[in-house]
Amino acid sequence: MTRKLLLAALGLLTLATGAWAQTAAQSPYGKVERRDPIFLRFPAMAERFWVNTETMAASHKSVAVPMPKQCAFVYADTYTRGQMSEREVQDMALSNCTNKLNQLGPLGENYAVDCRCRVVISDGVYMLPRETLPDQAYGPTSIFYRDDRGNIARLNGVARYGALIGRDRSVTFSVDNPRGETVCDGTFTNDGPHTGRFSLNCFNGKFAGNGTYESRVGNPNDHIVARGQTGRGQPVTMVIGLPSQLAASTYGNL
Amino acid sequence: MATSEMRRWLLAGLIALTPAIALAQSASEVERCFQNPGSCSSSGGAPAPAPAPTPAPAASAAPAGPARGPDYTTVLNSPEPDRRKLQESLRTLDKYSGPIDGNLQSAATTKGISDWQKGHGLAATGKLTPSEAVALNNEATKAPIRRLDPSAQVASALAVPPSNADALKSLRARLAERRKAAEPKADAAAQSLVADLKAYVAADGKGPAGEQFAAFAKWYADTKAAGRTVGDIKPAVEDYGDVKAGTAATAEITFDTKQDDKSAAQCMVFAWVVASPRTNTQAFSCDDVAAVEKWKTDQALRSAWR
Repeated sequence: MTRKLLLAALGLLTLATGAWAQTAAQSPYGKVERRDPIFLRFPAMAERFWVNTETMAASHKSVAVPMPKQCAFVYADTYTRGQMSEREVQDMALSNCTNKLNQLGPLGENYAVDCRCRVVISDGVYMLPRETLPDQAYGPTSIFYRDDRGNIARLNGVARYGALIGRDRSVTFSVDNPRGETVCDGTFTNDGPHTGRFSLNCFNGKFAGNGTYESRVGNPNDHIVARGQTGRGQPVTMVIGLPSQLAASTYGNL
Repeated sequence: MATSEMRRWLLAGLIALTPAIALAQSASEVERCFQNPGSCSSSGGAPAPAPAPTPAPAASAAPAGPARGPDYTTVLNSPEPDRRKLQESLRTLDKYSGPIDGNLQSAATTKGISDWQKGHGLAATGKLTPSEAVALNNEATKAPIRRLDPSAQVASALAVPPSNADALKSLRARLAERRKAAEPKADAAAQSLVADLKAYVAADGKGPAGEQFAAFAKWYADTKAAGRTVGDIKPAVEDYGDVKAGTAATAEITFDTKQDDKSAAQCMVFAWVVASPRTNTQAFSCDDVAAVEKWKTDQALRSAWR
């Protein structure tokens, strides 16, 4: 009998905790830090969150990104406007993030998982367990290759890299197919803040190419476009940061 | 001597180039390798057009006698690479999405086999006879690269409910309703501003618009001094809502300016409390988002627009 009562009490406690899960003050996942990977991944957001005096001092600040972590290639950060409550700021971040995703188009050819926006930061604390948050940079990736007969291959997956392209001298990356199998790897070596060279190696060297890349900021989304050739001189283009259809319509005509 | 050395180098070069000749270079091969890297992992060779692993000759599928059932053990006991190949074939045919571990008795693999068998009018046993294994691998080898129909993709993406769907839906509905209600008043406020701006331009720098928006008056004077003329003026409501002093609006105004044959669009954000005359007025560069947001915060704007 006592055990049943205890269990019931425990259940009630759990429910109560769940009901307050959206309140930052109750978050058990710890405070955000300037050097956390999510801020390194999105420098413009970090600027608003930590530096810009207009936004950093907002009474409520929320950041939403698509999850799980490999989906986190866009973000939405929202700051109190007028008398907005913490919950309203969270809702707005969530709504903005979802709108961004919808505007960019379907992700089904890049990801096998269902990418959905979640509020990950609210009022200076994490709203999800740290181990579930992006620890590297991820982005949907498309590789376009034209063979010597004029046929074009479209390879869609996800790229991940551990550092900032353009800031670090050399950045290694890998490309996973939608099943999560690593199929390609390569290197970006920057010559300037937004340009440099890249090399790509897939299927244990059975397909490889190299050339130059350019990182583009802004509409429709920050992305990297790398253009080069295979060893046989056939053109190959890799796009990181745009869903497959957008990448194909923008860069798919080799 | 020199000739033989040259030959040796040529031979070495040819040897070094040999793997390159075997590289995956046709578009379809590259796509196949990308989708199914396991089939391309063997060293040196071109990505497998995948000959069937043939765990056993097809003939052995035939029952040896009336008492014996179908032969499932041959495939189940076949070497691991062959079992993996069967899983890859199921995967290629979109019947299996689990790991390629050679375990043909896992729930996901037996389900994949059953599905494949059903699709071919075979008994859905979840186990393969040698002839079925050969047929499965052959079919996978011939399978075209599957591309998702883009229109179906768009449709499915639109059909996918957003995260915490109900909350988000109601939030959107609420925002849309609020904005719809505010739209006539916000548009009227923006149009009234545009009328004043046009009057100011028509009067060559005189009128309430310039008195209320010093930054606009300065911009107009600079534009005129630079020999540019102001043409069409288009508004877009940027925000609208209640503030301490009543109702406030912000509007993004685009000015078409011309100099000789060259025209350029310039943009300013105007912010004001709706009154007659307008109060708390200010104009900003469209790039100065932070200043616009600060103005709204100072006015304690409760947006009915966003």
